[in-house]
Amino acid sequence: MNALRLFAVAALASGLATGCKNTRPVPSDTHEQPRASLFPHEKHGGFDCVDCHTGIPKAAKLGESKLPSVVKCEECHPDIGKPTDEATRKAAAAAAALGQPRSRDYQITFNHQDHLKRIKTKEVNQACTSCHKELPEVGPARDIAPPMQSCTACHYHQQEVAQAKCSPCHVSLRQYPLKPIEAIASLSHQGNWVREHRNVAKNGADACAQCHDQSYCANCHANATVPVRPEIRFPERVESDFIHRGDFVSRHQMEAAADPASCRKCHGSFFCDSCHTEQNISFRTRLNGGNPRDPHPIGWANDTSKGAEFHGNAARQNIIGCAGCHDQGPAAICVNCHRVGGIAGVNIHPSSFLSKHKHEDIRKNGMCQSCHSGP
Amino acid sequence: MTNHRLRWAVCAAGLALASTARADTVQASSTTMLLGRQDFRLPAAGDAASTITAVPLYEILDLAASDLHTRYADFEVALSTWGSIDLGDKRFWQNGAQIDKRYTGDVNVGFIRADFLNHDVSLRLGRQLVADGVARMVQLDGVSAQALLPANFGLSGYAGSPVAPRFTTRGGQEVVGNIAATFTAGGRAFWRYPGLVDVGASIAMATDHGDPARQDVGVDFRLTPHRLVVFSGSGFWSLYESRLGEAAVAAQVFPVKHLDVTVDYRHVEPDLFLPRNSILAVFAADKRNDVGGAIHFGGVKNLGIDADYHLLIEEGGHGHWGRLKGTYHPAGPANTVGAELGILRNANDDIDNGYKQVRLFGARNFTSAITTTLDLIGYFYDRDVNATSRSLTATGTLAYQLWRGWRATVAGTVGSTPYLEHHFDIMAKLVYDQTYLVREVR
Repeated sequence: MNALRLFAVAALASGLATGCKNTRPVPSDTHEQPRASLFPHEKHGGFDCVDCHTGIPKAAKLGESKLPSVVKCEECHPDIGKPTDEATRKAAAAAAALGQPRSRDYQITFNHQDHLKRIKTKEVNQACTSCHKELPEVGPARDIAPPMQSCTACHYHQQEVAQAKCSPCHVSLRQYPLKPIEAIASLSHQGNWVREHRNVAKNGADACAQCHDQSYCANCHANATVPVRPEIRFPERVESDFIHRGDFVSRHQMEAAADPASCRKCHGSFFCDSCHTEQNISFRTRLNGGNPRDPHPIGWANDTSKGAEFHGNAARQNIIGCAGCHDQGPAAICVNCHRVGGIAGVNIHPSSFLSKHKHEDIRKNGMCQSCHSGP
Repeated sequence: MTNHRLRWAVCAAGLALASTARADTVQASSTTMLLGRQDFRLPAAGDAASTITAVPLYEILDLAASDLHTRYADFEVALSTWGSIDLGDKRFWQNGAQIDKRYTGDVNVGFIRADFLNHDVSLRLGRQLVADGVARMVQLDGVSAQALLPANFGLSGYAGSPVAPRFTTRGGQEVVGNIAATFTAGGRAFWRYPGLVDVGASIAMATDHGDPARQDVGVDFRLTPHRLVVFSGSGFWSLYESRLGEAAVAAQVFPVKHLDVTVDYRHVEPDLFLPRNSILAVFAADKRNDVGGAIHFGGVKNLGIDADYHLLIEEGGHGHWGRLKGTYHPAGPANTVGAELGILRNANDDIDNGYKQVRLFGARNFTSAITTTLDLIGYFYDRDVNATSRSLTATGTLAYQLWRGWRATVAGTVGSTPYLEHHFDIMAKLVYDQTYLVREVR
């Protein structure tokens, strides 16, 4: 089996390495970059856009329609192939560049054909300029990409935005350094986000996945396998609301008492018990032949007058706390006294348990037979 | 086909797939981390306490290749793994993993995801986390799938074996993770009216060597009547015990610009978070409630204020859990100073301790390359812990941005805690974070 696991990891690694061929690193601040052009759009204002961009009206995907080639320029500029002055040389270079567009893969899903059909304008150029407010020009680079408002002016995407449903318009957002957006409830990470994000994840994990991959979640939630807790791995993140920040060992029993279910949402009994065993305060220490210290107050075992300091009352109030040291199945200390016929001589099941389970249920759960050994 | 052959076939398919497809986006992260700290072991009866110096060295690797387009499906491959070696004494405890060696390692996440039919159907195979509905963010080795159906309906499901640390025995009495089982399966059916309602019903079942560990059904909803108002809620019902395990509702609103208010209520019966085959599952039926809320205010330039408070309601009385935090960025985001006050008073404060917390923190970018942070935390206990009334720790970090994508960080912690009179930790970390694109992205 070990060989198989090693092979699987090696397979993934080699596959990823192969997939990374010809890749280039991307700066962390990647955004739609401002662009310049060698083609002076302003000087050609007398034409319709589709006179040159002939493929656009039928383009179903971005990048499907190539930019016009030098042949298109030669329809009006027959000398462009033989430049005689500086202006023509520049125009020739621009025309040549048009014919060699760089291959791009677009992160927006957009169908020009569909949109142009639906935009009703007197002039075809008005249809284009309803989104393309600015065109690239010769000179400094300018941000000419149509803004998202161009889309939302017609498509009332408030609902999708409110739910952080970014696909299928955006192919992927993972390369963008997006930050929580305060003004949109579903994208806000404000308030006690550590506590509240569970409500989002239960019915909107795909919204989380717009920005976070599972490795990110695993830093905290892969609690069975992570090497260290995130507070140790990221001490420089002083603004983050980590749950176990600082000296958590000394206060963990207080927070566990305040919200025991919260602990159990990540940690099983043995997570607690294995440390308690190491620290010589668990019953498991005795099972392992050690001599544990007793962390309980005097009278804990059998003095019913001690109120909350009597183990029966404490167990009724916080059984999760007991599980931190005493969840050893049939070997648990509870069985010694509370098994049928044991010295405790009391029925320890709460009334809610007795009302739900019949005597026949004993046979359905092996753990019941730890105490109910009879038929 | 034998199981053995089937596994080899799956691995080979994974290799072939990953080798031939091109990923538009490849994210890689490597963290080399050296820690030095004192581990303490409290004494057995009649013995003396002991400390050791633990110096573990970690290598943590995260790889994710997304947008792998093929003719039939789009794929994503993710792997998050790590290894470590103890250069000093062997650590006393490693998050519950039973290790008796100086070197160890594990896989946090490792899966292949395929999206078919214009992303209407997705399938994920391997080690993964499942959060849907009542799944309880289970980490499992198995399969999960989601299908988007007509009329905004959808189905998701999962099946697999909850993860055990270091590939050790699953289930039984030594479970570290949140689902004590050898097998778990579940699913969620949902309906969405985009932007307004998202409701789901889910089920989660788990067995531990044949015994029932979980049999829960749940519901969840999310209602967004306005982009600045969200109501959400969830709950689960234990089929095995015929009892409500948890019910929570929350409302988040932005009443005015820069103010975020959340109000929430939760009812929980903690014993239902124990596996049903635990010997302790038959002893208690404790009920707890908490109600409260949180606010975030960002209306003053460069200042953020967070506050939250919850009243803890138990049969034995009432407790309080609150926090107030202010974060200020003098002269912009390069500088940060903050303060935090907290209090926990348990409902059964005659046996359960509480604390008051004071925290001061700050960060400063001296240049674009150098960042320092300082974090001072003090906890003052209502009753002594190990004959000590407080815990004081100070952590400082110095981070330097090296060449592209590389970052070096050193950190040190000193303090005095109930279990270590003088406490020293050091950490040195070299991080490489990078995103690679195969094709130019516009």
